[in-house]
Amino acid sequence: MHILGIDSSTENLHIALNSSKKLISEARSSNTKKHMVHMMGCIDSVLGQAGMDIQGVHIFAANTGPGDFTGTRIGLSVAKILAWAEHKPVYGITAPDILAVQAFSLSREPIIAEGRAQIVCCMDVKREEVYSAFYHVGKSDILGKKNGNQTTYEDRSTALYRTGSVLTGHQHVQQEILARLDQDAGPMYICGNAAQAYRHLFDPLLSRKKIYFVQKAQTTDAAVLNRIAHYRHGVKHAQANLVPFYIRDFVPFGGKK
Amino acid sequence: MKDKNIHILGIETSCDDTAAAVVRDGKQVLSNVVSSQNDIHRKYGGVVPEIASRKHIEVIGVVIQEALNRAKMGLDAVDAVSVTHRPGLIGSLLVGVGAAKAISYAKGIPLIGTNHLKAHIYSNLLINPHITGHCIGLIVSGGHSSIYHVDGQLQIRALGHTVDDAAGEAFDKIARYLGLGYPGGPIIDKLSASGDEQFIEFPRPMMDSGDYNFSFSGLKTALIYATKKNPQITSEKNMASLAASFQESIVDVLVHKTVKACKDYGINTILVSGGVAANSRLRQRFEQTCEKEGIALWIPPLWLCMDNAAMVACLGYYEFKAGKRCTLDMDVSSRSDI
Repeated sequence: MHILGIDSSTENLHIALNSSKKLISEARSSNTKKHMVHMMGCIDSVLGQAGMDIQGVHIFAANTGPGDFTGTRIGLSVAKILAWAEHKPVYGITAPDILAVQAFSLSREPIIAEGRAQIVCCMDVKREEVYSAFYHVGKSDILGKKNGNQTTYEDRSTALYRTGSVLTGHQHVQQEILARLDQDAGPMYICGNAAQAYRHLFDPLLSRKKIYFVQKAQTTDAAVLNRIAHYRHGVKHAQANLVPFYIRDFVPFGGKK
Repeated sequence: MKDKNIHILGIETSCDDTAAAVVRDGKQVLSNVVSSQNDIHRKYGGVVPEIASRKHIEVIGVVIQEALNRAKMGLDAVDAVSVTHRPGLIGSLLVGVGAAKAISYAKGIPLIGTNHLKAHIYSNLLINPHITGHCIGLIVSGGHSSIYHVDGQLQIRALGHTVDDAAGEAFDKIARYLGLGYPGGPIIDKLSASGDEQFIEFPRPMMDSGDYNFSFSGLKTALIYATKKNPQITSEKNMASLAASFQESIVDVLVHKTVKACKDYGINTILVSGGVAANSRLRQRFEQTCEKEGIALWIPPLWLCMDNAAMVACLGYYEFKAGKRCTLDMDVSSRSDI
């Protein structure tokens, strides 16, 4: 099962090819903001490294954001039409879902040992606002079923359930996280780039017991995007409507809703 | 042996219309699908670029599929994909170009990046494929008002542009100022039909400037000053005549300068295109003037005046035949290269 993932929602373009969960090739174009120029070359490169052509891809996946509007739309336009042209499925995965699964994968051993955990993905989404998505991680699907949450991702017997999200002014991020901190749900792992962007707000949180920062899950990884797409394809989730994930309504002529 | 037919898939997303079309041999339009965003942008009185980009990404796949369905063919029968990559709104262009590159890569067919303005001129070849050049082209729309010289090889060279507002932009802005709605061009056109174009003698900007440039911003200001000086001219009774007078000034300048270019270059064919080419008074005045001056006139039907992908496929065909091929690192640009 070959999965081609396109992550163009930041200034860094990342294309990855997985064989099921395993990364087999990748290509990056960093800090160019020229995704339209580099996109097809990177795709060709990852397929070439694997000795494959586009017909060998079984699933397409793309990061739907939130992120850079233009970059995200380039990736979605290419992923959507490649999948359509090849009569293959395409899955859109949100950036917080990708980061949460990255944080889970990087902290898997202590989470498995504890049996449960909370993951909070905090993204700096400009305008001095932070978008936070909250996840519970458990050994079984009890958490998800009990709360009616859909499984974001499942790795063997351990699953992530998204329990909510919120867009706040950055100064409110501490209280939002603490308000949602479930003392019975295990240690908390924070991922995303907001912790670095607003260190003065996050450092006090990170000094508390059982709250950890997952340093390597600040930016999204297309290989993890592919793993989620593989999982969703396997459990026959409804195919994503492939449009960017906008966290704010767009209001012309300035101002916010 | 008869040559194989060439089928070009055209994709157009340079502004607020998502369009796809299939054209055979540069002259037979097998399908022409346009998803208009007019209803969405109407409440803002003009195109909002971010909203346009958002809508393009929602419908691009459906529009391309529909174009193939109506052409009764599959993607495998397409020989090349032609896409507008300049000029236009960057966020909008990127959606169409991304889609075109994906098709080119997946199917291993040539990618042809086309100039939107050049495609408007080539829309005339869809109504008369025997046009061989030696023409003066006028493109007049919401974003452009330009005069071009088209040589015997159908190569295009700009003679003049608007130095400020495009004609269609002036119509939109004045319609908004007068509370008439959006898009302004068709509204003013319809309203003017029952008005007196001599009601107010508005200036004819740059009429005798000696070049082929236009300027419509001052005309817009002239109307605003006129209404402030005499508010009665905006009464319900006078509105049609006010609109007709404003329209007549724009039409006068467009016709005069285009015909002047013909005379200066010793050319006797005019190609008019672009959204404002749908304006009934402009069409009438061009017909009258060209008949009097012995100039051949080509203006496409209304569906080809608006932004569409058939013209992009048509131009793509000629560039395909000329051997043009774009690489997959092709970028987009807000600016025209002609």
